[in-house]
Amino acid sequence: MVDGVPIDNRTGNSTAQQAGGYGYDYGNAASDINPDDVESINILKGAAATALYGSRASNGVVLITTKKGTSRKGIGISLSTGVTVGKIDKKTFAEYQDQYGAGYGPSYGPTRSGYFEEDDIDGDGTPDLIVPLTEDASYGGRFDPNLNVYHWDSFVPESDNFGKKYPYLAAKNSPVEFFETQRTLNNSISLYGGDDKSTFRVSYTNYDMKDILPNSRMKKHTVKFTGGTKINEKLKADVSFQYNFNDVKGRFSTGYSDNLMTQFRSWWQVNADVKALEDIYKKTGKNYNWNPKNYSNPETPIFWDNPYWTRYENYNTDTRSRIISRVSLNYTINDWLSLTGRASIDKYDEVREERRQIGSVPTAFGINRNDEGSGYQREERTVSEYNYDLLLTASKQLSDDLSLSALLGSNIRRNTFETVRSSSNGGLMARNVWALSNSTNPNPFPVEDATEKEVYGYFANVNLGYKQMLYLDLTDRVDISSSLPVNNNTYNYWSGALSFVFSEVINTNWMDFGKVRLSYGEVGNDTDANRTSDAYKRFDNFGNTVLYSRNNTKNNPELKPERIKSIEAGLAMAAFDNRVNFDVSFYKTNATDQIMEVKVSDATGYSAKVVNGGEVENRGIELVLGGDIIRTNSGFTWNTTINWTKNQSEVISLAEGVNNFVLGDYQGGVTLNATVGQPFGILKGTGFQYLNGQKVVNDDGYYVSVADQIIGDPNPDWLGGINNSFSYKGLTLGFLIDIQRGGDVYSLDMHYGQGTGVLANTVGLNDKGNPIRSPVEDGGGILFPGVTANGEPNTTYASATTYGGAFYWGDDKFNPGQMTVYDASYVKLRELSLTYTLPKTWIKSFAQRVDLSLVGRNLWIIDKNLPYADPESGLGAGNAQGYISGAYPTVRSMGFKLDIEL
Amino acid sequence: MKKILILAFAALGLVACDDRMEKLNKPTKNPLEVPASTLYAQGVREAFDMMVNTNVNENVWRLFAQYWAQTTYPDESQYNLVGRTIPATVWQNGYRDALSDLVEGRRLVVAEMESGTSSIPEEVLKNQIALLDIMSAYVYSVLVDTFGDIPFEETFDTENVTPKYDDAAATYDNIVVMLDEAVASIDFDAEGFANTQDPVYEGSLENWAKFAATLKMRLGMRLADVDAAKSQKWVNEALAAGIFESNADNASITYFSVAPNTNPLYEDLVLSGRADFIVSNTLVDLLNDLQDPRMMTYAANPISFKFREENEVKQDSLIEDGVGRFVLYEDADGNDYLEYKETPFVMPASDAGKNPRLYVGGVYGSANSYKVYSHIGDVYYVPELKGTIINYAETQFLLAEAAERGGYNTTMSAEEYYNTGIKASFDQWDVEGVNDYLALDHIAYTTAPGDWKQKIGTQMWLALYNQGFEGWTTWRRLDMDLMNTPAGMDFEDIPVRFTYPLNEGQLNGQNYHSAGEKIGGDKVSTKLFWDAN
Repeated sequence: MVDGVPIDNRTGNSTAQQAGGYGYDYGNAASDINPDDVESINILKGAAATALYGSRASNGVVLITTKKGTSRKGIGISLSTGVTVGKIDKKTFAEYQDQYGAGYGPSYGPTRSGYFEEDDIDGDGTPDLIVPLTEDASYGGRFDPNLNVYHWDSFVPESDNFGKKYPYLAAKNSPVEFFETQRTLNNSISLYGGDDKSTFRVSYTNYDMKDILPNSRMKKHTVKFTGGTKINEKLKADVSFQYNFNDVKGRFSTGYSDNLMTQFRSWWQVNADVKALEDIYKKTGKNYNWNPKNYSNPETPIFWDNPYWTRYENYNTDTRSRIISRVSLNYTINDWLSLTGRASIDKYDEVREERRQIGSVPTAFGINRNDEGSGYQREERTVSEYNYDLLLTASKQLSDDLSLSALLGSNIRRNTFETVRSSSNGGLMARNVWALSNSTNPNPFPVEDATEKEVYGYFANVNLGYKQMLYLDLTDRVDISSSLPVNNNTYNYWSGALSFVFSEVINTNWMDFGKVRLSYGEVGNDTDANRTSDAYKRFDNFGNTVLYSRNNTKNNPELKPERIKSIEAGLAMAAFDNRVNFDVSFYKTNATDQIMEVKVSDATGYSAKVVNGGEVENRGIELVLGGDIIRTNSGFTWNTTINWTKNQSEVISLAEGVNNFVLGDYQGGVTLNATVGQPFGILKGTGFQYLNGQKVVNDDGYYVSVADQIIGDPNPDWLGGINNSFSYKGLTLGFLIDIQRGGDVYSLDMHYGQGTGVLANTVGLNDKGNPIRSPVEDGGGILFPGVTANGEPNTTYASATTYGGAFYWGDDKFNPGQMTVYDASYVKLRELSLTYTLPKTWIKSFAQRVDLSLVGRNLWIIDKNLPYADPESGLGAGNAQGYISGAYPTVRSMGFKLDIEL
Repeated sequence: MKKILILAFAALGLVACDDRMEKLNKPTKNPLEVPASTLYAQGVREAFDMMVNTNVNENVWRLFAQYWAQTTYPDESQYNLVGRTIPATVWQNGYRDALSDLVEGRRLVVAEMESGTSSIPEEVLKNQIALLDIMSAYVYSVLVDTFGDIPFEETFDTENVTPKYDDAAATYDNIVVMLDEAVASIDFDAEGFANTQDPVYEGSLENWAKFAATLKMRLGMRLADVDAAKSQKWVNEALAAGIFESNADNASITYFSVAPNTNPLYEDLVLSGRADFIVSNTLVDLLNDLQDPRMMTYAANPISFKFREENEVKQDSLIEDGVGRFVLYEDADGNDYLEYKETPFVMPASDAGKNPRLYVGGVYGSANSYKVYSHIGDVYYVPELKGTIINYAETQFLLAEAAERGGYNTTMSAEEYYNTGIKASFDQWDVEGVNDYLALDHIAYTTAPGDWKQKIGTQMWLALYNQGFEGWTTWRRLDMDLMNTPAGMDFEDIPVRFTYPLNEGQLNGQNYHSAGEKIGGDKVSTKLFWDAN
């Protein structure tokens, strides 16, 4: 909510992207709020917020108040300029082994038992060794500085290495060098002023970021005007108008396929030098990669494009223009009653273009998702939300002891969403012509969608206060939503809260403030538009044959509104002149009839069905403890705030006769589930076999795998944060440490990255002191702790000589998926900041206020257990959690900012 | 002020009327009603695509039949069904993609008929139901032959998300009932679906009736080892009704030159830009041994012969394995010509100038280099290639088998059917020289080695090239001695069924587990009910 106007914050990412498939990360539309326009941010928790703000507030509301003009003499000016630079945290990216080169094992050459392909390249009549270039793995021969072989660039005419053999060694520059320095510039100016009747504020902000991947750029312009005027003694008008224009190039692709991180983390030859790839791309503009289909034709890669080609030729762009505007009128009826009418609009138009240059590796692209070597796709989206509010508010002292504030109101909300997506088909004709008409074959039918939703809300709220000591708050709201079936579309919900400020009756000299509170609330909720009827899906004609198909998800004409019941009890105290304060609350929420899309057996004719799910319970504790630990007369203050939350969820019931819902289905045979009796969102897949609590190892020394096991629970045990700030006069130093304890994460990157022998942990010495990749008969291999099928301790070393061994990504017999489930705990220095407000005496000649600040973010991951990635880099959108695929490294950034108020 | 307030609230109350709310929640860009013929065509298309494609996530039957081998990633030819959740995709292709649209189409036609107000004559609607059922019966038969017991009676009911699995033999009976009832209800004087909506037989009801009979005969022959009486009954009924009479009757879709309507093989072999598949040693060695001219169609890219060298001088080289080899030479004018040589033979160093080339299949079950092995024949890289699910040759081999077994109303000898089958196969792929081939001692039915299962099975397997599922099934039924085993595996490790999709365990757990128990364990080695010998 920004100044009372709800802001659309849908991510706008495709369903496939959210489920870990392909797609770009289009970010979150709430990012269009300019931080420099923000006056304050408040978070309203609990059901109490929902009467006023509706169902969408059932998980709480972020209330953002933006800056406004004030009555003052003359025009105020404030300027802000900031620059931030960031680099990747290497601990969150792949670390490469440097001992073995390309291949999947000894299976090349004429005997198919060598590490190299052989052919007489130099024409001297004897076969030469060639790196097995088609192989996207590093399970090959041992590096040897005395062994000269032909590499990928030996076959590239424009390369300095053309026609040359050179030593077989690990690359000097690993993909770590691919990442660039992130740089953000943020400048804004605002003018404000007013007299006793009217105020205004106008601002302009310019944001410009280059990200860590080459050819990524994000530019944003924001213009904002707010104004208010008193038309007469009783009538007041406020307006605000914001216009955003965003222009973005080279967003990051996510998920498994067509993501550079997948190439770098899992399918790579550690002998490939990323700088050499950069040089050859920049020199030739051609798609030469380490991975040609055939070395005699080095311009055609088999599996992966040159990463620079990917960034410079196959980039996306998008623009978004957005208007957020609001008008409100406030009429004072009498000294205790007033009426407010408000209308607001939030509307944006987006154009997204995705490109694939002629000469790329064919990849699923465009509307039909056929493998295409080139292509162009354009999507236009229009998203809007309108709100009309009418509020009657009363505020009256009923007697000396009794005060009343009350509210009666209505809200009409209208949401629309429209999209048209078109693409080329069968590739493009001309290079660099990014147009639908550049398609080789006729364009597929475009994919269109248009949905509308309206919600009518009527609500009332009464708050009674007795002697500033006892408060009773009651709310009630009725919503009618078009997204629900007509006979089920009206739902009433309510809440009651009682609080007692006991510090008003207990007189002690140490206690500053003390309050207990108890609340109970119920919230009803609707769903997205168009989930109650089933439409057919059109396919491109097959010759003259017209094709329609049923959708894969069954909608539900009998949906009921969701209902969340929550109860909360809390205690807040401050003592010793506010040296200590704490706020503890206990809560329990039970969500019933949750509307969700669950997977069903395909034998029903559908893959998923929209249902009202059973019941999920969440209960937990939230604790805030803080205070000024040191506060001296000289002006030095040390303030600490500790947050600690622990939440436990449990699926109490699902639909009748069903005890498991599959919420997500991911590559690697991992599913995310709601299972009765388990926390919400557990991971299932192939797990270890256990015997007397020990993992069972098979005759070859590998872990036995068992299908359909619970392999992880992504829900953390607890979350904590420690915020410290030290201030002295105008100087403030602050740091925030965030802690997550527990929670599991499955890593597809480790699953494949170990299997292909790319990662550093796939080499080294075993407990006998021999290289683990040496044959077991030569003392190599890995001894996995566990027992044999008879329960005897395992003594068999698992072979790690080829990709199919100890690090193999597994099948139904050995190496269960559970091997790459990790503990997602972390301790992070999230933020470190130093701000200095210049003394008035220094600046009074030219300014009212000058602030300098230095802010570091994600500077240090103090502790984590997940190798080579940030435990927070998993898929986060929707229900998807606990699954990492193609993760980007975390950026450590440091920013400098100057704020001046003239 | 008060008036405004009252007016405003009244206005709000009026706006939230039911009609408007209902209208808002209806899709506007996709239809709620479509002609059943569009669902029929889509269902048929999906059924063919599912059998014809060679995507490693969906259809690995050309590998399981050992016609092809893999290059860099041999997981599927080593029978790893789990990594890519292949059974789940087959299940999905069958139920959710093919059957779902056929069943939905049927629902629409039935509703149309029951409405009593249809402008379409009832005979036409009945014919449409028959066509939808015949195709559904085919898809169910594939699912039974893949998994064994499968959901049949409780499928396509969204109120029951945990359908029970039905006994495979009982489902076979039900499939045959579907086929019989469908054919019985056809009125050949009326139309079915419009010609343009039938990509297989262009609206010909006679052809679909033949297809139904041919499918019934196939199912009947599956039962030969377990229920001879029923097998004979079904086959004899099918013969009486009339089965395929030539390759013109083949159940095929002709694809188009442009995506997304190319043969799915073209997507996986050409558009993907990958080089995942090559012909296998199982196929190439057999074609070499048999002196089978289909080699030049089934395979391509013969590999230049590498002469033995001494002191960098090419030497005469002895080739001794197998029975014989096709050798492709280049004459003085640069034209290729073919010779067949029985092994052992010596390739003289003096022939080096004639660029001798041999067909070499990739080692089944291993990783292979695309460069050094022969490739899949050129015809399979053509986007318009027909996708076939039942061919005429198959019927003739099944009848040869029936003649050997006895008790069936066959009209010719096993030998005659065998010869017709081979001729049909040569004809299907436009291969010349069938008479010379049939005259070879090791091909002629009376003199060819092995028992009738070996003789008929081998030729049937060769005739089912590019129908991986039937190729694999023929081996499951007749157990011909021709398969290779991947390194470290035995014959017992070659799957004789697919395991159930793992996600069924999570979505339909109880039925999944009891079905696994009932069939004798949800394993790839559990034999299907008809796989007795």
